[in-house]
Amino acid sequence: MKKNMRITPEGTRDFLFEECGIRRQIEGRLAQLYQQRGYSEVVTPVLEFFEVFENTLPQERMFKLCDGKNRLLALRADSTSPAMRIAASRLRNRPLPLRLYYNQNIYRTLSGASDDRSTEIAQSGVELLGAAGIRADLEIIHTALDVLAVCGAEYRFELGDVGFFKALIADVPLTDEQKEDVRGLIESKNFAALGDFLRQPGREEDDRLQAIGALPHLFGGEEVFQEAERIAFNPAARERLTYLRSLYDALSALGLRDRVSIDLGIVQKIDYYSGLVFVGYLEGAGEPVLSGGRYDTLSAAFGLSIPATGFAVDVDAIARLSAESGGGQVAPAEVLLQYDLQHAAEAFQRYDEYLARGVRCELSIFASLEAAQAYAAQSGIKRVETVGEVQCGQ
Amino acid sequence: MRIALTKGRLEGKTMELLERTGVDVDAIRNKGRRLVIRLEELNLDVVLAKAADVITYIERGACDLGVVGKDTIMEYGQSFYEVLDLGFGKCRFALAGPRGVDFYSGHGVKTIATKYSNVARAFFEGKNMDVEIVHIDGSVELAPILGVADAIVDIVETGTTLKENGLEVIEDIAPISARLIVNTVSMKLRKAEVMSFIERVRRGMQA
Repeated sequence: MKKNMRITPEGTRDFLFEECGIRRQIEGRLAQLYQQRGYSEVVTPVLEFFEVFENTLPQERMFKLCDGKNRLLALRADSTSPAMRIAASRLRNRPLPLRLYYNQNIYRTLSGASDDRSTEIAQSGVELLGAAGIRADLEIIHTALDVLAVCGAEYRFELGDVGFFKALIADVPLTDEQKEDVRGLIESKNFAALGDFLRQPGREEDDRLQAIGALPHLFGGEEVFQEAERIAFNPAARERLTYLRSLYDALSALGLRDRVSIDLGIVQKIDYYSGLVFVGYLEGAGEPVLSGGRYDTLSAAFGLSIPATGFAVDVDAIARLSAESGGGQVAPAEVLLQYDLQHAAEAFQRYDEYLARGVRCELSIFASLEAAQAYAAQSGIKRVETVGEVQCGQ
Repeated sequence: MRIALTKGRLEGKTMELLERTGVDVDAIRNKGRRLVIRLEELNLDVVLAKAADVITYIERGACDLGVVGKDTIMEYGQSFYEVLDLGFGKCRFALAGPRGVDFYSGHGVKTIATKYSNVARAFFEGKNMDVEIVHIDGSVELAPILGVADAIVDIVETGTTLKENGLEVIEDIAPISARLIVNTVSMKLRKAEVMSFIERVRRGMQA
């Protein structure tokens, strides 16, 4: 036997039985949830031109290959860019907003041998294209919260705004390299190192810099706004904060205050998010399972100029947690039909009747009743029925 | 909550710090063969693990908090919060080579021996230098002596081992010390507990 014949590449795996059952069940529930809200499904190719993803991911995270004309292709690295491509081409003349959803795998390379993440990730999500403002943001957040509730586990939802950090850092006397260092320290909530950086001579007297030092602490509930107002030293930052506050108040009015918290320290490096960002956590999952936000500038790369918002959720993370609480069980057949070949027509007639009544029924492939009974016992099938002559032995 | 502590080099100082934060560390010291130690009064489970495993447990959410060296974070770390520099276990990553040899001379591609391939690669990428990296698991100082490498990237504490083997530091790469890290989800779902633990440790450091 050749090498690699019985294994799958790092980061990929097979899904068997219960795992497929629970995944399809979750995808089905999410699809229904989206459709009820007026979203329509799109399926995009696994292969796209490389350029489609250039604005969403660093190139080292993409699987790449060439087509027959030596053009660079990439495996679907996210679903937001293809959705935008569709909006800019086939759906260009449709009235806005467009409500699209997807249930499909995305592919991302690993960063090294010690990287134990998946390369093939089952993702589900929605895109609300051509809609700006609080109505669109509320709709997307409300939908995301319903998605998190699907799995039944305790969940938490966190709102931030990358525009707040960008507004603050734009005004401080640091080089681009230093700004990037500060961003990294805020992202990793490295309170200590950020404090050291800000205590260096010449920086300590700068109130604006000291304000930025508070960012990694600005997460939690409503109290965050009071602290944030103190450090919002320029109009752009105040504007972002006012908007976030109005969104938080609107969500509170919907009775979602307990579910939603704020983190103004969400400042990812690689992203196309232009303002509002959010992350969903499930109790029992070590990493965030849902992420999304507003990406108003992405459409420009596709020759379009529309605001947009959306989110994606890791279907397998939800499936894992649902499976732990007993979802997705695949039951064995209720009946095994044993028949001799002279009575095949009669056997298949009974088979059709069972199937029509919704009884889970399997046909025996064995010649002898003993073999059929042994198989039924092994497979957990409770009843064996015979049609025609009962044959014993071989 | 569950905390993962690094066994070995950082273990003693971690215990001292925990003792100053009011943790009854005798239970941990006298753990025998138990792998998980329950500290009832703090509502905390303690796990002792190898450095790289601490990172794995934190990233996967199996542990909420961890104590681990910056060296391990730089080599293996991906996504978690690094909330405190605990100030002990101080040393540095450095590039070192045979004494008196100009590492940067010549046009050939240099060979670097190291236990920390990712750190070495990132360092030379930052310098726009192509290097060949040889992974060595044991005493890295041996590689230049045996002619396997032009230089090494390794942790340097006092520099004595380097000196005794005819090597010297060419350039410092980054300072290292023990850090307190937190799983990103734990920080959000158990904010009050996590923040009060961080505060406790911070006070312990000053005590």
